[in-house]
Amino acid sequence: MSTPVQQYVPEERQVLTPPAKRRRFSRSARVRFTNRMFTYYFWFSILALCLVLGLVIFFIGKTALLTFRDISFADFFLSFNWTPEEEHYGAAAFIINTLSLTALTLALAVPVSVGLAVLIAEIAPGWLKNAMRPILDLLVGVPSIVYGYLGLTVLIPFLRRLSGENLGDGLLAAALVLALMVLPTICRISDDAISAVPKKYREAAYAMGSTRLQVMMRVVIPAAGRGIIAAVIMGMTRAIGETMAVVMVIGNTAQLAKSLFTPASVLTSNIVMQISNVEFDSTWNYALHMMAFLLLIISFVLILFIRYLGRKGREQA
Amino acid sequence: MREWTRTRKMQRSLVYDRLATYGFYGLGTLVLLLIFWLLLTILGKGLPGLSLEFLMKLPEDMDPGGGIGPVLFNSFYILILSLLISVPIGVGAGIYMAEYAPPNKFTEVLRICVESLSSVPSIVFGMLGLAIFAEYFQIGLTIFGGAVSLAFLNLPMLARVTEEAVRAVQNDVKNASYALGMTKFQCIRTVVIPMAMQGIVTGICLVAGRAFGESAVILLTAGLSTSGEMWDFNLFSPGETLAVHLWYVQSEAIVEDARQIADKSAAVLVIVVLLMNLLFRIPLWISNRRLKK
Amino acid sequence: MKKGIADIGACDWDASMDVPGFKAFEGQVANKVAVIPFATVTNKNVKVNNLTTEQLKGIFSGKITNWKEVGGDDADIVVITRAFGSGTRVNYQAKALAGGDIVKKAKNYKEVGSSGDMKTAVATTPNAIGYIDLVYVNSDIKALSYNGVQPTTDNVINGSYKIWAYGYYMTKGQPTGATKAFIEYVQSAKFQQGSLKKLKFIPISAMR
Repeated sequence: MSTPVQQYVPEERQVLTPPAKRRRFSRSARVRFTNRMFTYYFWFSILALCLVLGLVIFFIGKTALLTFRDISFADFFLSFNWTPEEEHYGAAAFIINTLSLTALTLALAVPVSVGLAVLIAEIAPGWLKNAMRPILDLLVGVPSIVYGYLGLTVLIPFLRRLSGENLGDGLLAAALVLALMVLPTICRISDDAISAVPKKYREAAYAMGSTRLQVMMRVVIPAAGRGIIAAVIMGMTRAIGETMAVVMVIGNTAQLAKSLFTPASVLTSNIVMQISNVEFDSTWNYALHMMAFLLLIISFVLILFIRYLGRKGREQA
Repeated sequence: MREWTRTRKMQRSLVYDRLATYGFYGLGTLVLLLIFWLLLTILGKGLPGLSLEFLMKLPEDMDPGGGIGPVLFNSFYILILSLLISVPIGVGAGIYMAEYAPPNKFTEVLRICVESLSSVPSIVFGMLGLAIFAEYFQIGLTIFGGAVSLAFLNLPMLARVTEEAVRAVQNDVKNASYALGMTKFQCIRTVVIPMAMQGIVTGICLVAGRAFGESAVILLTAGLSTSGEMWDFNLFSPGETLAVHLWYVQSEAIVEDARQIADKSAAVLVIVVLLMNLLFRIPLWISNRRLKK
Repeated sequence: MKKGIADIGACDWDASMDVPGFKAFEGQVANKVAVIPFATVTNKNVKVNNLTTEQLKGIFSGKITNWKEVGGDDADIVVITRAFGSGTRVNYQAKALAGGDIVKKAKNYKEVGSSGDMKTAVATTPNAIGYIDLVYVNSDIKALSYNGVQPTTDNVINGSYKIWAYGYYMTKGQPTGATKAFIEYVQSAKFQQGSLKKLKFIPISAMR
């Protein structure tokens, strides 16, 4: 980061200033005042953000930790039996399903989105660029329920025919829908990151005789690495936390997904299905809050992991 | 000078390059086709039945022929309110992280926390809003509560996208401006923000689109009904938005034309988001052209 | 409602009493407002028209897994059920399955969150079976007879079709003020014979 140069402000007496001009409203004072005000404003915004973070963690954590009054850690995390009516609160199946679903979604979405971003930022001619960007932004505005409904009525029958199973619901259907939902996010943010790479890097590479592909692969993408990683993380977190669309195509049965087509349930879909129907002060309610808290923790860990991967890649580059 | 001959390695690179170009274009075409098909399905089912009357009428619970008037208004109202709250705070926080924060472990942890926050399911923000506004402040389900909870939902993404956009601005430009004697804020205002504007506007577009189509949060904090009047600006009346209405019509409604209302609402949503995106992009496009000239 | 956020809670069973799977909610008063009939529904490609209590129990508990065991084609039965806490599910389990279990983990089994979703799921999944309020049934899905009795409002009123329940508005204590006026309006003859009937619910007065 650059170091701000020390401010050299000439003493008011030395410079010829109109005597009528009061010292307080001189330009430099105004500028410094604005500077200070805005510094406070920036401080305030980050504190507000921290406040929201704190609220969320406090709110979910408070109810979540009450779970462990009645169930043991091992029971909650390791048991595959989720039958709240009989006091079994094993969330292992959901945790593993969430992880597999996220992995599958990213495997489908990241290559396509980053490839698309490269297309828009590097290869496409101007008119195509300006046409594709608003279209992708449009995808974000489609409500998750509409995705879910289209998934239910179009994707699932298609998957059913493709696989020959009786129910097309399951991990694959949910991953496809989620991949479509996070595609614009990852793509647009990567697109901006790639466009922001300064021209001189590219020109230097071309000057050395690289083809466009080589320029892209060896210079531009690594240079935009930070932004692309941020884009992937944004997409991943959106996928982890998506509820409405997933609930419609995943089948909602509390079992471990052993194949791509068994109806299953993930942390989010389970919370949605049951949260409105449980009593307030029951262990079930606390267990559901614990699952929400788990989502926070899981994404924290996954983000650390992705950043680590990104850093390793850049060290090698 | 000898004539320039292509070495075999060079030839191979050129072939890869050509293949890759085709590959990328192919990928792009596939995705575009998919998106077009998606949009056509939604619009095709919903557009034919749209009329100005549908857009203005009140929704009917029991008889067919209801409209989406107040609901549509609520959607816009809540969207604007939540953007008013989330954009200043989100962009401000992003700029702080990129410019003012010291590069130590604590900032790194903060950054990761902010990113994790975007993975919290929207329902949880709804529950948070319910706990804060309906229970703690005892004001029930209101537009205000919905807008604030929605703003909470969008803050992390805005902050991160802004931060990355600001980070991408080259240091030499910033150093040049400091060398000219600007204060930090002057530099940010006149140099950094215009250069990062494209990224910031992307963030706002993504967030606005998500806010408009979000149903889980609004459902829990602003309710499933409207005050019944068309141009109601009261912050404390219940605020069902179009996305929530769509969800409701799809899951619970027993009116005869529930399916058609759902299709038409989906079409309206998509069209509005398209218009909104264009609205945000046009000033940027104009200023880009002016800069180029 | 317990926390005071809402004044009236609509419920498909009398929540002030014990019901299988739910303890009674204390301090609440139930006000009857309508009669709601339920029906077993299947996808239009299912050829079976009638199921007995025993057959329904077998299907929903997972013992009967193929349509040919109950007189249909040789195809796997896909069971679609509502989530825990659904009034439709509580009533269906009590009345049609006579308290029998509903399967929880199986390959051809799926849970949906609302009646609208149930309707869409059954309509779009071949060989599916589920249950839903009669008011949601239309030409997209097929309603089955129960023990030989057709699911119509007349059969509910004359007592031959047994799968129905009262709909209640629950209030915290006895209703007062605007809440009371609203509940009385809903229970009034004008509403019951007019809008209620139009929506294919049954007025309380019709049940004797």
